[in-house]
Amino acid sequence: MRNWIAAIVMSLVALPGIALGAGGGKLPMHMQVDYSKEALRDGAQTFADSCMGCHSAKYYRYKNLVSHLGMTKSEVEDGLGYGTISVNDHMMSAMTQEQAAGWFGAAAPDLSLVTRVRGSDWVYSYLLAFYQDDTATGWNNGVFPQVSMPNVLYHMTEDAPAYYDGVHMKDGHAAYPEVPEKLDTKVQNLVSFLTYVGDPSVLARQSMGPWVLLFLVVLGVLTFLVKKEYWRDIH
Amino acid sequence: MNRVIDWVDARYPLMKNMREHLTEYYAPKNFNFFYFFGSLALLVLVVQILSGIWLTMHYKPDAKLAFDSVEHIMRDVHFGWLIRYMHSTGASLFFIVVYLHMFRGLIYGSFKGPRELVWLVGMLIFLVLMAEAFMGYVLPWGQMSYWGAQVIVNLFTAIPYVGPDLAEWIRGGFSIADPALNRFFAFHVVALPIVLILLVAVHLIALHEVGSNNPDGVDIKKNKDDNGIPKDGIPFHPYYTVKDIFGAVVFLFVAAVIIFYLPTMNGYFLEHDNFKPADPLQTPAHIKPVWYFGTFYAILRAVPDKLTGVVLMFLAIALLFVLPWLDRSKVRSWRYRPIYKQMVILFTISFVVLMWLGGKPATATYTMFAQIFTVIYFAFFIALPFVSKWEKPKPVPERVTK
Repeated sequence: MRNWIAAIVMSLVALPGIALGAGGGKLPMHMQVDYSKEALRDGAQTFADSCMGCHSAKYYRYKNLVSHLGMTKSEVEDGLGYGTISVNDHMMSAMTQEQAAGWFGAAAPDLSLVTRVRGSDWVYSYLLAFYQDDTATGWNNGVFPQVSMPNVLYHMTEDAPAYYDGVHMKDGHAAYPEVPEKLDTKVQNLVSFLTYVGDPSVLARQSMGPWVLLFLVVLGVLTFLVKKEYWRDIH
Repeated sequence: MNRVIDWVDARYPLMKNMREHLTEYYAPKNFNFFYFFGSLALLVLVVQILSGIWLTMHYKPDAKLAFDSVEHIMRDVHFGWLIRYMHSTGASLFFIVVYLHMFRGLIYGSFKGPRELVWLVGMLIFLVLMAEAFMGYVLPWGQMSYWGAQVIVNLFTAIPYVGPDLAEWIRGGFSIADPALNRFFAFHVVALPIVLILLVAVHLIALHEVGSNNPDGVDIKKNKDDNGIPKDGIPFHPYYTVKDIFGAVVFLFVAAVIIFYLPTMNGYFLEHDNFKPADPLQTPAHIKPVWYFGTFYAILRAVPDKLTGVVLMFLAIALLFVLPWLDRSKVRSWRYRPIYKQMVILFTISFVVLMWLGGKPATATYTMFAQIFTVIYFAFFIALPFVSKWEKPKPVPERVTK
């Protein structure tokens, strides 16, 4: 009698498979976000040194590097900001929107929420997808074709140039060599930092979460026992 | 203490209300899992109102400031992220709880007489809740807020003659902009919550007048003991208050897992594209509603003609209102109605599949499936008056079963 229901359910299981053909391209790389203080501090350093010439993270305050990541005020102001910023500032870039439009043809987007919009894997893949060609900056990208951003990571680590020299286009698809360890760590730390910047509450959530859940489990057991006691005489 | 109560009681029916709605409100003793969701919906309403009040203290209903103010809440306000995630998670959980609550009414025939008014008021609550959720979703002023509002308000342009003027009147302009944001804020935080609270009160008063249904759909008031108390009834307080408190803690555990570990639910509760500020000049490639509107959005898109699509979408909700009169069976619960049971299962499958399809791009394959399941969705309502008349129900027990 239930055969027809089973038939419908079975045919529905196949539906996502049929649908997959319509979906977007799969990302070439996947990483695990590392929320350790060391990784995030290293990522913050890379962001300040290599990204903030053009990009801002305008919703993020330097102060959080102190309160969340345990850096000192002078580490932030002198180390990260080379004495040009105050710990109370937001992470603003050196380049103005007008300059960006003039130099690159497009304003460099604010990166506060880039991982929220595109996902950490996208940013990670994108940063490792630069290859050389004859566009204005000399660089193109396998994940974001015709992007106006040049490859600023080419000299990031000693093993980086060889990697980026190896990325090339084959039949309209980018082919990637194996990512060398030092470059991989640097980029992963940077993306982890950006993921944290996208939602800084993640650190508080992860440290509070287990206690909240533990409390609710204890409360659940107690309320269940109360319920059982009251319901003993109901048959 | 007693003297205080006496003093109040001489001026206000305090103890009378307590007795009528709690200590001497007799509910059937065989409530199962599905009976948690009424009290949970009330809990979520309270959580949404409280978290909403605190969000309002920091949010700016201004097209230039709204998006930034939400990020300000997430980053600079003490525990702002917790309040915001409670509210955003609460919105989705509200619909999960309400859909399960409505499903319960459907399977056990709780919408049938004498509870037609309970069902009607409940459907009104659902309608207001959808408006409340839609307008709340516009407030963060991200890309999906903006373009979702654009699409939904444009639906009104399908109405002949007055449509375009009506849409303009709703927006307060030629497109969604600051005036729309401001008035949606007013509706979301003042007007609709007041209506919701009033309707919930009426829903409960109407329910307590006729008494709760149960999984067997039998009338417990037919079997009373010498004191006039239903033999299968137990006082709501303390029995169901202690049971519902336990249910609430389990529910809060689920909510806490989401709030602390999966606040965006991979883009289902908070959509990825909504972390981009609203940009009237850049239409997103794929505009989709939040998951809980998926069913109705899929029905809308299943029809090539805009006006027919809008009519069908409203009909999909309107038919639920008249369910008590479409179902002509004397038996309530699906436990004793084998054909009705299969129809409800099929209807539920189509509801869920349409919900999923509503979040997918409108490709040919998806549209075809949306059309098939739209037909099944409406077939349920068309077949119901006839099937409920012909169907031979199984014998219904006199008393409730385990």
